[in-house]
Amino acid sequence: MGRLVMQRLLISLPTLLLVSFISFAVVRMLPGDPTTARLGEAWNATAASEIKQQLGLDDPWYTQYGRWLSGVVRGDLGKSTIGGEPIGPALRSRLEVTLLLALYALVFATLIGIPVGVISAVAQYSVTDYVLRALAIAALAVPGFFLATLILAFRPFGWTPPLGRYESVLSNPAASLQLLIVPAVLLGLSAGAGLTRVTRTMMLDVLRQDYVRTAKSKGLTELRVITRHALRNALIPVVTVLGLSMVALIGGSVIYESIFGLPGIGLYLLQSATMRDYTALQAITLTFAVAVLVINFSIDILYTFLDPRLRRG
Amino acid sequence: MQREPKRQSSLEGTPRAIYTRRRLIGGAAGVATAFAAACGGSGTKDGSQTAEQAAAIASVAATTPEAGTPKRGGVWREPVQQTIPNLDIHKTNGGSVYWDWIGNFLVRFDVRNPGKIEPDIAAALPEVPDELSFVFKVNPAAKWQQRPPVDGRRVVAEDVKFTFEDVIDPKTTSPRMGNYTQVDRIETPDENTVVFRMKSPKPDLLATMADQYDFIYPREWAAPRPALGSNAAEVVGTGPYELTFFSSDQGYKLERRKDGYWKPNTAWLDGADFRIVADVQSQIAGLLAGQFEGMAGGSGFKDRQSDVEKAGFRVVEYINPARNTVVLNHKAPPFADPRVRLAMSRAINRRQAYDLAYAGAGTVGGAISPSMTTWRLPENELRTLPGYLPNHEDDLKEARLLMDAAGMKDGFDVTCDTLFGQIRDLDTVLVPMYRDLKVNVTLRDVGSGGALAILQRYAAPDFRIGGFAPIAGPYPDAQLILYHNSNRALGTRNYGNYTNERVDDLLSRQSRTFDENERRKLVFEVQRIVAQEPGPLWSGSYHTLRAHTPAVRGYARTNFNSGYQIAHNVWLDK
Repeated sequence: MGRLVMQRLLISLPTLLLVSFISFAVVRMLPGDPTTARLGEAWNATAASEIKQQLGLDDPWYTQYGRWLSGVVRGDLGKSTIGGEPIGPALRSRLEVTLLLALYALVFATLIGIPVGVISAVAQYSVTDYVLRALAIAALAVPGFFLATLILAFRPFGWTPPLGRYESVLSNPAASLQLLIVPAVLLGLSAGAGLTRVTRTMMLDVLRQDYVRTAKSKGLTELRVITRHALRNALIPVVTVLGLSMVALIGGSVIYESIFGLPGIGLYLLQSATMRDYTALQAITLTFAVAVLVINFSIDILYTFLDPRLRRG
Repeated sequence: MQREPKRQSSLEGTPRAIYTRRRLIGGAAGVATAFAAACGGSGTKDGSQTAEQAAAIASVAATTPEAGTPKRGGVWREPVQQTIPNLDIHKTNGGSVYWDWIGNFLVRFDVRNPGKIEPDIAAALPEVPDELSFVFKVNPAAKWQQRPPVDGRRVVAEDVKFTFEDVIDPKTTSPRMGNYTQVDRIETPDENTVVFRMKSPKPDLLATMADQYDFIYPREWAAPRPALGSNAAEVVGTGPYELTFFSSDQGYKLERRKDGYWKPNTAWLDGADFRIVADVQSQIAGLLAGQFEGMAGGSGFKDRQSDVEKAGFRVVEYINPARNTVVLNHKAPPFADPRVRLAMSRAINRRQAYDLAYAGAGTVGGAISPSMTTWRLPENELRTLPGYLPNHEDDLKEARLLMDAAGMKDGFDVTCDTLFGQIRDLDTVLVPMYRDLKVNVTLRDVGSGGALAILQRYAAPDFRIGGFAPIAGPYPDAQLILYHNSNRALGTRNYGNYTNERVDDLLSRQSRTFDENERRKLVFEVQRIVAQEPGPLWSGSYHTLRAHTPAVRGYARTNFNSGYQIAHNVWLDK
């Protein structure tokens, strides 16, 4: 396990360095710069020059990159080029929203997707199977943000989710959950549908294996056969999909953050891009990269628990 | 039938609030008909209402029942679409929405009559002993909020001096630095007196000061200047409310100042809660669910207006301060030819464009915003100018002749840069109109990043034509000089590189003319010339709608959209 951790760290560092450079370069290729964003129609050369000087944007690119990178290494993600506030605290509060949203969505997707996939596989070709598969396809086909818009436009049962004011899960877990639960369910719908289909496919494959037939012939109950013998083996690829889903959920949260007024990373990214907030954009990109690496690493660790062969290897 | 002078003068100062068509038909029709008849017209040839008639109706309807004794209490909740990057209003062009609650101007626009300026921190409008001096007295009652570093002291002349020197200082990087280039120096002969000494006459100095962003700052902020950033506790103003919470992605909260506001009989609310909700449909859902007291409708609101009204909310329609325009590159073919530019202007059926793009929620206008009743060309004169004729076929006929004369009988292909949203809505309906001249326009979205994206395009060598809706202050210097002066130091927003010596001369003269009647003549002449020898192709302004719960009282239906109206005048009847 220790070797795995070291290996991953060694691979991650050059990856993160590359991501940091790419994000640094790409944001500076966008048309406009923070001066045009701040001054808008009132842009003038004097003010623009002063802003660039204050932000260090008139330094050579390698000086700017080095300055930012050295700050990152020390844990300082820099200051917003638009508002001047430190990026670190701003990012932390927004990261909580997006991660929780994605996590709740994933939990919902897992709680629904895997059991439904198992039931569909066990009841293959039955009416239950057809109905569940049809629902899964529908959930995949209909975008969750479309349902979100319908909920807000038509207000079923006269209800609208509370909009626009988020309280941290640490200070008010109930309020946080109340704000996130509906967008999380909508966000998790298609992920859950995808999990259903993968689980079903893997379960069907595993249920046909000899050892499952052996387990049944030994007199074990169906429930025990499924949970103890079949499911564990079927889960390995499902866990891979879970990991990919988590990454997609984090990236896909921006639409839901916009619709429900949630102050998450996705909306922050959109606003930073609009305002040409270079430092924020770089920090957000780097954060996403770290998140992807951590999630992939976690999946690999989870594999070793599911498949003892990987532990020995 | 001629209007009596008394009627006409009352119309000049009347706010041009526009009701929704439902309300016009339903509520005020009887009054409107009588009033319109008295005004001497039953409408224009094509049946649309003249601006004067609309203003007359609105001025009458504005007095209908919102009467009652204001009562204190309640929290104003409203969604806002965009984030505010910085609490330092002197450094940005955003944030006036909450600074309207926190601070005061030296002088400000009268919300019920935006052509007029009234004192705010100033005790009265300034004395102008000569054309180069403005002498203000600070209101002795004005005081700061009970927060460091001012701790509730009186506002003094040095505060005002520091404020404007801060805006002018290049180190502040204020977007409005260029508005005060004619200020030579600011003097404070005593604690209560501020004197602005000018390098050259600037009658629009008061309008510039009142224009939305130059709130008075405390002199203590001179050194060290606070970063402000996003720390609500650092922000201190002279206004009725204190900022208690600020988050650039969630919004902000305000509470009534504990020591009481120094202006009596105003500021009735306990506080305000502005939440950032980016999506208009989400905002509407929140309004219908009772989460907000009011909202400003953006793109898409018009389609839901009937739902909102059916749910019992009141919808007010007003002319957006932004003016729709088409920018042409004067330095590149084919628009280097003034005949082609005029032909394009004449091809646009402006009334029809607003009907199609915004379901009629728009007012046709020229180079001055149609909301500016004091300075815009009268409707009856505007309709004699090219591009504004009552019968569009007459304009189209002339346009074709112009294209012939320019050797463009077979038209041409061109790409038009546009922005997602209300700008694109209008540009889309203009495309078939250009086709009447065999001009094939392909729209190209430059992105939804606001003005930034389109401003970048104007500077590009391949730029030819673009749609835009700039916002400028409600005074002639802002509306005309910035967009038409060929001297780029003055015409900083002359995107198409329009050059007209006569216009430059008139702009310069009107900017120095204090006599309002004389100045109006010059301003009118500029508008006539710009219509006949176009720079930007001005169309007018789309309307914006605001929705309020029935409990809202004291809201003046006005074309001047300012946050201090709600902060100071509105109360909740619940």
